[in-house]
Amino acid sequence: MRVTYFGQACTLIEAGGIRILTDPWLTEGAYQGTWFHTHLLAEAGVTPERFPKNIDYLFLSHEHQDHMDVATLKHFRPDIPLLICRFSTSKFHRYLRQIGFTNIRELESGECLDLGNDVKLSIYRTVEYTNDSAILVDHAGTRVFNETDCKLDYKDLERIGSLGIDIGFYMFSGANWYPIMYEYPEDKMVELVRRRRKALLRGLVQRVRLTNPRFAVPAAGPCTVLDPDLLWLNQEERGIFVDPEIAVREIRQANLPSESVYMAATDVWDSCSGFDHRAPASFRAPRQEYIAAASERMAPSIAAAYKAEAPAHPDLPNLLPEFFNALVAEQSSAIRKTINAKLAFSVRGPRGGSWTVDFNAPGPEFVREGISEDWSYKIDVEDKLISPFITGAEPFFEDLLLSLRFKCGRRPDVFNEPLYHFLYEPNPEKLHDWHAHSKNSH
Amino acid sequence: MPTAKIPIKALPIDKPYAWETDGLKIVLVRTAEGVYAFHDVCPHASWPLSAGTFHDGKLECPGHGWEFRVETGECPDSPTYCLTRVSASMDGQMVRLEWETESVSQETEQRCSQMHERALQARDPRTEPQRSR
Repeated sequence: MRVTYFGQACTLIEAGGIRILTDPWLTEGAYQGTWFHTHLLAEAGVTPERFPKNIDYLFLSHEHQDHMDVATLKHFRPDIPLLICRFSTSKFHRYLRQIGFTNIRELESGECLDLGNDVKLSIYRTVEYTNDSAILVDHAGTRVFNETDCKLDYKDLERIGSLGIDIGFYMFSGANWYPIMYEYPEDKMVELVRRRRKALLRGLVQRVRLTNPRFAVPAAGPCTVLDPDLLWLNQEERGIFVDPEIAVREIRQANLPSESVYMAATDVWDSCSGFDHRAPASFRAPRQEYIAAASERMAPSIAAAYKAEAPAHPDLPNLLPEFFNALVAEQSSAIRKTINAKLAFSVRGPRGGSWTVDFNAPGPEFVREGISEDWSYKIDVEDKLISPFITGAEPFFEDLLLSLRFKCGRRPDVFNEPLYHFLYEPNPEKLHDWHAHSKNSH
Repeated sequence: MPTAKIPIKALPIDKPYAWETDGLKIVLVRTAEGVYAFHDVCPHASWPLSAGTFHDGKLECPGHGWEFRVETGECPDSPTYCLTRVSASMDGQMVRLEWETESVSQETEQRCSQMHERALQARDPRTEPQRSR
């Protein structure tokens, strides 16, 4: 078995003459130009155009752009066997069909697919409301586990670990906008970031301990932000995106039986010959030095990409209230009560405005103009950035928040999970089933 | 209702401790204020909390970092989650545990439901005090 790493959760697994590619994200500037790889892939000669096309199976863990990159996917043939987990709604499946894939196979969580030549594959589904999944490939007893950035149930991880993993790729970093995009005083922000990083690294060690691979590779999770105005997001004291070498050290310090290995993009592990560190030498430069130099190199293209962004839809001030009125109206009154939020939008730009979505309003109008004084969650964003999510050009609203090109606040300062679920996927049945279940099981 | 006794000396201070009987797994936390006990399972992804850490009055799950107040079992960051409590009281130098045989007790279910309602109330702009920012 041979596994080549291409950054984030992308691995090319070659075994028994079969080539499986996981979560290919081979471009830069995901999520409205913000997310770059830990090291720029093109500097290792990796681009979608040059990437080998003789892939037998594609696995996509979920719809986030650093795992399902449409610009990369269009370089593969539409009838390539595409493996995904069976989630509770068909939104992901439908989207993949919509972008042209014709041979999609959904696997139940834990189901084993025999690919022939002694190669077997299983997909495991997250415990969370969001879509996400991990993959395990077994070739005649040699096993690679790629957790992607999926939060799995303890028992699933225990079961996977009991099989005997040779090499495991793990999520090790924060990958969202909490607390970094919130309005916190500086000292509180620094403390929240410190605690979050610590918890993330503790969790990594525990998952490695539980799955007990021979080799543990910190892989998915972080982005590198190269926008010169957002470089602070890469700082250890202000950002949740952890340096993979810190994660490697953390695992080593835990004295686990697993050997922790830093793999940079294009490095290879071969079950017979071991590791071949093929990545350019620059990929092993001190992290902040690499980021500063990469940001300088990329600044002109980032500025050009921002400049080329389409302006907001001229009718955005009408479309936004219509969009949220329709979504909230679809929900049952119990779900609206569970969400129980006043979601405020402060939208800047020529098509901007301010609105508050009141989940407690009697309806049918849930959106009113202006920022309600007693808002409970506020999003402050440019009109051109939110516009494609309102018009439907971008189907996954969470991608806006993952862009890190907004500010937000919440009152009180607690996680409103039902509101997050609504923003992630406002499917009325899914929301209803999830929250009915969560109330019963807790 | 089943009961058991554990010597207080067996429990480390400010550190989760795993205890098991007849397949029931319990996590105990001994602090300066008292001893707290819960079913040893995180409601998020079923990780054993006894493998986690204790700090600032909270038990932190080892898997994904969810935190729970030991005084109440509630998760301050996400009130939809809370732990299933096991009654723990001091009996001389022993900690007396008492638990219901059903996996989720009526008391816990009711308490979680109340906490959930309280959290909703806290988010309810009609009851929340006005804040200035």
